[in-house]
Amino acid sequence: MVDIIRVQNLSKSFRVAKRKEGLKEAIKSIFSREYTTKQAVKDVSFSIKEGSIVGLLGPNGAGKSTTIKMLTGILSPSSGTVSCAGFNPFTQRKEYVRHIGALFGQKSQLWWDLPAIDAFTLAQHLYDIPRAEFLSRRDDLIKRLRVEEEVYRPVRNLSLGERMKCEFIMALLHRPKIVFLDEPTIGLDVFAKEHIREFILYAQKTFGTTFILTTHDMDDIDHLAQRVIIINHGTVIFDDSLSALRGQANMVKNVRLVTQTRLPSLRQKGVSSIARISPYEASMRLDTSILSLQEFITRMTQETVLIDLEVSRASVEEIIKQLYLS
Amino acid sequence: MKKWFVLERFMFSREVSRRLAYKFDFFFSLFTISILQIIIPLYVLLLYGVSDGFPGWSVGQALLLVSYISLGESISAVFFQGIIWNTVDNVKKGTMDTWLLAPMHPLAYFINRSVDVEDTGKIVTSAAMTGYALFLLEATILEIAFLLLYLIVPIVFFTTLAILASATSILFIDSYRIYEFVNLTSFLSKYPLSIYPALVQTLFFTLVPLAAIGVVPILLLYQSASWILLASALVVFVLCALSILWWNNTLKNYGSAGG
Ligand SMILES: Nc1ncnc2c1ncn2[C@@H]1O[C@H](COP(=O)(O)OP(=O)(O)OP(=O)(O)O)[C@@H](O)[C@H]1O
Ligand SMILES: [Mg+2]
Repeated sequence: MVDIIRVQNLSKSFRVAKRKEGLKEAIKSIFSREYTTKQAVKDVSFSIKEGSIVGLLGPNGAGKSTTIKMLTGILSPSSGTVSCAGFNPFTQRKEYVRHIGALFGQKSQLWWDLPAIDAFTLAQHLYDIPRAEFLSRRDDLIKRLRVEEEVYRPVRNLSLGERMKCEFIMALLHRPKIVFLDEPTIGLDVFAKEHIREFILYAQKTFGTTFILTTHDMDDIDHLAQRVIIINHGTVIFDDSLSALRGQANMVKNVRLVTQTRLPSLRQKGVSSIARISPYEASMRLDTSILSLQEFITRMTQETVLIDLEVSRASVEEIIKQLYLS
Repeated sequence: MKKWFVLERFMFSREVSRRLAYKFDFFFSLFTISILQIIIPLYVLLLYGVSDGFPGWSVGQALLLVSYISLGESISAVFFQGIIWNTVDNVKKGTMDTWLLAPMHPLAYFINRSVDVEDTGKIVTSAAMTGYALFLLEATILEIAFLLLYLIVPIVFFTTLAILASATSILFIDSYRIYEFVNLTSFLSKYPLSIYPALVQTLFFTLVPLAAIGVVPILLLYQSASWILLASALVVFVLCALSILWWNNTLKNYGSAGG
């Protein structure tokens, strides 16, 4: 399959006016304002295959939304190149945006005072969708996302989850090739999340839509993403398949020991996050790609007698946290 | 272009139904806005009632001047000037992002999204006042046709101001007050030019084409001035083109908001 998105050495820095506290400083700033540069994205490169679902992960402030904004042509990159579906998103935005859909969890595309169904008609005009075609797509989306009744109520009166489903319909009516979802499931209950996830998978399968989504919800990643890109402090720190991430999780074990004599020193290569619960009990993380379980137990039994030993697999979430911290 | 009109029509009807959700508020503001629009023409009539008015200008001409400019301004207010509030508002909240996703020239789309139905009352009032002034002047069909055609100039002028204000708010985020500048300009332009010193008059025919939006057509029709004055109308179009270029350019500096 071909790469539909290619990002090379992408960076974005913002110029931010420094504001100090207090009125005196505010007055001073009228005459001379100090600026700092905030580098939100640094030298990011990746490419994405057509028809895939990619999860963009990272802690708050990592630069996920900024990256998405550059990929959608909203922000101009400070340096580097982006090519999406053959377009340069910023300089060819007008033609480019026809082929993409976007949903920003925090920013509504609907009208607050009007029913969502009215906003859908705007999309029909905007993308020149033939009326009959539009109606059948619209009603199909409405049925799949189970908002038959809600779309006729003013958006103001909808719950967060109901509104988000409508936003989702708005972003997909024109059958975009690429869909960017910035925190699409934020604040949704399990059912709403499920409907949206089901739909994403359906669209990928039926229309070959490519999805790029940012989320803090590991369940989203678990259900959807075939590939995971993790960003921290504006740089890519992990870029591989979800199964590779899972494999990494499988390699890492959470270990808890209880010993008969005082615990020996646990500090060694492959062992991390050591927490001593008592002189006889401790928990730790063991990276079996560095130190095998067999070897670890052998070393322990040479120095003390084990009374209890618990070994469990680390969760993907724990691995990601580890990546954020490193 | 066709799409712009389709969207404009759609947005207009949406906007009416949106405002009808709060019927009382809508009709009340329609009413007050259109009443307020009569104040300046009334003032002109009053002025001519108690004094000789402006030297060299008959009451019909002075009334035509203020109503004609108001007419251009109101049309611009309904269809174009809404971009001022909308950009200030959307830039601040960062929701301008979603507007940039529309497959159109962003300024054209911003204008589509900024229809202001409330000001339609203004159009009606200023059209009526213009009609009355033309009646006083015993205008011919040809003169009326010329004035209608020339209306594009004040509309473009006020739209240019709105585009400049919108661009400024993209750059500096909270620059509401720019709108007062728009108001001041329209205020200054409503006086027969003769009250200004010669230097200012020259300026108003050239670099700051305030004369072009109302004084010029009246001088041409009723005071047989030289047709060279039409050149000042060209300045309006040049300024408009420049403001659009500048507006496009500000998008490079648009930083969105975090989130
Ligand atoms: N318009 C802006 N002006 C200045 N700085 C900004 C702007 N937008 C974002 N930033 C900064 O850039 C960094 C990256 O922000 P971004 O919104 O991309 O983070 P994120 O990964 O989406 O985080 P979150 O998970 O919290 O949404 C942050 O440190 C933020 O403070
Ligand atoms: Mg974000």
